[in-house]
Amino acid sequence: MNTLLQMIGIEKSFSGVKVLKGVDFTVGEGEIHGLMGENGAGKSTLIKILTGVYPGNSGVIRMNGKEIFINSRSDAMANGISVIYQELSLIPTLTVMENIFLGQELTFGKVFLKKKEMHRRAEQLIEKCRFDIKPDDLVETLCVAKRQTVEIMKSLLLNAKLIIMDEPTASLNAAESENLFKIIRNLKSQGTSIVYISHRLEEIYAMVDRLTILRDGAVVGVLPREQIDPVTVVRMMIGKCLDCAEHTVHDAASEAAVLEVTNLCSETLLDHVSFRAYGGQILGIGGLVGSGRSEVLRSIFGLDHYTEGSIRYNGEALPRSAREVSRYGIGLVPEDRRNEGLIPLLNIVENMALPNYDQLYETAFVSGKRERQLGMRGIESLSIRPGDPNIRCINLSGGNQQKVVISKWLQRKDLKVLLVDEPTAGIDVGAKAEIYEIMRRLANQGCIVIVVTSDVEELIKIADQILIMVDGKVFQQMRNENLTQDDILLAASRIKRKEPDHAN
Amino acid sequence: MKSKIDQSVIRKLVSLSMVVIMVAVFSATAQSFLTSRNIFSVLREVSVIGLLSIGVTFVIIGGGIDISTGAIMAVSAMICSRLVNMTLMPIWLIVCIAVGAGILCGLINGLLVTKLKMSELITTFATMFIYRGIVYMLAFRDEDGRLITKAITDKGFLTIAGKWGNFYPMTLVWIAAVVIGYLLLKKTKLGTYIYAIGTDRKAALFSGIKVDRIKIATFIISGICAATAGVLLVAWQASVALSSGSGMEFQAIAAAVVGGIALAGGRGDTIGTAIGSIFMVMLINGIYKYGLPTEIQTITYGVVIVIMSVFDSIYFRALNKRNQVTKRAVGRKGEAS
Amino acid sequence: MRTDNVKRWARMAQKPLMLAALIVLMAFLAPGVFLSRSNIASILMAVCIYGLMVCGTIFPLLNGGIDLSIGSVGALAGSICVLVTLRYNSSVGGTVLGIACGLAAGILCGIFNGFISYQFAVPAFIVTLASKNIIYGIAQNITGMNTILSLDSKVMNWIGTGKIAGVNFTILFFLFIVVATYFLLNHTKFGRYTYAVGGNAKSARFSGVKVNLIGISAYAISGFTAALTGIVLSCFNRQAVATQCSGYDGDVLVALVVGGVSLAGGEGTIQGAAFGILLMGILNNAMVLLGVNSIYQDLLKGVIVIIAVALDMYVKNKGNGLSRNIWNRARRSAVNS
Repeated sequence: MNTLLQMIGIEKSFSGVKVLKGVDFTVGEGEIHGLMGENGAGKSTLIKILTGVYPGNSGVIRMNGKEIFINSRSDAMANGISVIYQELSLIPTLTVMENIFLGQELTFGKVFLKKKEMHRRAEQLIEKCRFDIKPDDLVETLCVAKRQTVEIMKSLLLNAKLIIMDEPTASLNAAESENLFKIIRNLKSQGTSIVYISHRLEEIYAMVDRLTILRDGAVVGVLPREQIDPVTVVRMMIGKCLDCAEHTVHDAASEAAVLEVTNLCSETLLDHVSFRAYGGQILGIGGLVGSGRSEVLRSIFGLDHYTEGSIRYNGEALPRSAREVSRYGIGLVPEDRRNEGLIPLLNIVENMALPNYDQLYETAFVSGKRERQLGMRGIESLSIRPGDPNIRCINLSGGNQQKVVISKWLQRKDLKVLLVDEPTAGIDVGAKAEIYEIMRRLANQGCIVIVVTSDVEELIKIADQILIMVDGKVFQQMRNENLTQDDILLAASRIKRKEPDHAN
Repeated sequence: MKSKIDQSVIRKLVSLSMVVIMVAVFSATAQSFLTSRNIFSVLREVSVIGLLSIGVTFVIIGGGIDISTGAIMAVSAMICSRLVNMTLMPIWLIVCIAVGAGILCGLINGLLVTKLKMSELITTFATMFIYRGIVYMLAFRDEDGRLITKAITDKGFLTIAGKWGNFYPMTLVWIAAVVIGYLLLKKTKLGTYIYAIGTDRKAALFSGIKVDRIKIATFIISGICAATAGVLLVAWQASVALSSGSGMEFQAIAAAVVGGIALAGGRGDTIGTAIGSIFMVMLINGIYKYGLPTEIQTITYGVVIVIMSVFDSIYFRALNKRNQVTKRAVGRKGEAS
Repeated sequence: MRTDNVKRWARMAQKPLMLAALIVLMAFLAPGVFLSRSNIASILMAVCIYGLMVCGTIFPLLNGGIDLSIGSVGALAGSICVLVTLRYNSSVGGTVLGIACGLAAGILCGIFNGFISYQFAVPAFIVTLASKNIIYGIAQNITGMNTILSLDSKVMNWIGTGKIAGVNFTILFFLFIVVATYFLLNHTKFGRYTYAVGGNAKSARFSGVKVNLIGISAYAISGFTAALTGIVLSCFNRQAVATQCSGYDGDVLVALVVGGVSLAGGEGTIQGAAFGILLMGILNNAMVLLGVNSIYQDLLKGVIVIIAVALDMYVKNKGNGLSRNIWNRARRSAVNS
């Protein structure tokens, strides 16, 4: 096999912190090369260097033996490197053909489109790759899986020699994923190389020719196909055996409050989800993105409609509107804090007070004083910095923004349940620890805390009970005792190792 | 697989059938509605408002809005009337200058929107005042400095709005604009890019499209259409009122919306707009033929806009829902297998 | 922290300073006249009637919408008020009833706008454009296209021209409404929710705010003040006509935009809007005093809107230089971790 891409000694640091420490990465011609690593291991940084998002790094990149310099997206394209983005570069109101050719249309005299020619070439391409789409299909009527194939065709039209796929199956169902694998194998047979990034172990085993594993910005191993097996891979990714002893599992008191979710089904995803969460405990929900974790939280909070099942707090059915659920004493810290959690233009006090006006003032009138007290209390108890209550939330760092979103629910007097979706995404280490502590404190006060997270280490660190979801179903519920990251990762990939915990 | 063609064709059929039903009802009930004279005079009226509509359609598809079109039309009309009355320039040159002014106005709009990053609504709201101010500055004045209107007597210029039998050839200008506009949108690179920036600006940028340039182009097209409408208007009416065209920018937008152009951008084409324009003008004409008071026209006008936009909203929701449901059905089936 | 405070003060003081500078400049350019009691009263009288409208229309704008129907609501409310008053022979009770009916009509119009806009997700621009036509048509219908005089109602006459302590009631009423709006925006839950919904409707919903209710109420308030304006104007002119208030939509938007209210929602204060009202009033007055030809008025309006918005953006972006850096850093750390 000839070597197509060679990255040698790639280093990258952000504000003095080394993120990549001399990474070597090689992809052969017509090879499907897997790339794995925990969150923050440096996968996306490496890819961004390769596609010109982060120009000017040290190290050498070679294509077909020749050194190349990638300083922009177009440089990457010119060298035949392209990335499949989920949605970003498609225009839903245009047809498949128009999308494939967008920005590189075939024209008469630079103005008029050669529609027939483009149509013919699109059809050829579709036929060659055996895709199940037509050039005249409108992209907005296609499902995610087919949109991806459009993206792939766009790359192929650019004569991409190397296609990078970052978690391509995250929002696909089993059949769609299977189809994508066929397409990828087909591409391989035509000599295109693929870099395949995924958290799903079973896909990696099934698909790749070689696997590069990153940890903490360095390559910890390159495994050929024969040597890839789940346990080895997970070990290499995690590196150390996590010290489990430092975690003490908190058991729920017998009279603790209980949130009971029974047979929750939604139109789109959830499939008879049942579990119980107890006061005094943190319930962690793990699983892959798209497995229905966030949907569970959204259903509890009354944002998503569920078709079957019930959600009860101490036997009492919860209302089905966000407003009433929040008045009931249930808070949601959404994943997308900037668009769903915060009002960026408002200051810290106003953001914190927003869900609490019903408790702050009995009448319709507000005097700034109690809000301010509430804000100052929030700022102090969560040590939000800068501690200026008048500062607009858009000007806060990610960690402090997250603290504001959490804090606005903590200020409710009768908070019963706090639902937290990806509490520490994009947050620095110091703030992370603080947020863990806040959640633990809350649980100790008797609240029910439900945390959804993709970070396995985090899950093991904070949760007392762990729920793994796969494809909209509860795959396994475990008590967080002597669990290791392997157990979680394997469960998320549908491999059971421990017997499910029947305590609950 | 339902494709784009079906959807937009269905939407057009809806508005077209509305036109047909309306024509049928009016012809059956109102005298002198279905006469060639009346129909052609309706079409003459359509050609002015329709041109504005075509122009603003481009801006709306590109994700913006232009409420300065009425004022641009007045500027162009005023320039014509000035030049015809005061110089001996050949007519083609005068028309070119008027259209050139439209291009300039559109360019200013586009530059303000892209370079100062102001919102389209505020920008064209401001330039609406500015262009209207220019109309005042260009207007004729008597010895005391009072603004007056002066009629054009130049026969040559007035032939632009001449008559072939009962037919007004200026309608052809509008038809040409509809056709050229359609070709521009569907058969050229520029057209594809306009849809692209109107649907998803970021994704368009990502595909290497020079978004700002395309945006400016939409405003220039709108300026050209408005200026052409101004030339037709002044040739038809032989004089320009200071307030001429004010309010027409909104009528133009309304016609586009009734024709199925989504204000959110990225959808529709000039055929839809053309049907919308015909519908709106005919509606007013028919009500007039009934001899009903003008306020009924105004009210009906508003009611139609509300009904059509609510219809569009419900229609799109249903369409989206159906798409989702079919997707899910496919997904579930796949999982089972 | 310190510089941050300074910056905030600078931003807050910027508008009063500009106003002060303009006043001082005018005091020099037109000594004795500009600052005379009668001139100040005439400036205030000129702005206070449409200023009432500004106070209500700020609400839909803060929510991220727009209300183009306010002018016709003013016409309708004034007409209803006068008609009802005349029906009861201009008695006190009849006038009060008339005013109540006018205000109720305004509120209903607002609720209609809000309902269609929020319930069917139709852009506010289109809804209010349509309702503008409908409401105007109704006003035409009930007035029969005539000017209806109402000379005998004592209550109306007093509202129009009465004075308290030597100051026109209208001016005092305007100031009262400004203060009331300030109170509503800054000292009630409704005000807090309004800014929240305008800043980010999704986050607001996630925090348990009834977004639709807040949005519809905003249009109701806008309809209410528009009706107030129409009624006060009718009282002042002792007549009602369907075309009254017809140019007010533009002036109101100019005042709001110049006053720093963002059309994107979530930003803007009533103090700022009041500044916008005063600035435009003083500028108009200054042009009269300085003998500037009135034909430049529109031009000036447009130019000022552009300058004001551009300046606002500039100041904001300068201030955000810091915040943007923080954001980038946060994003980068997100990538790294």
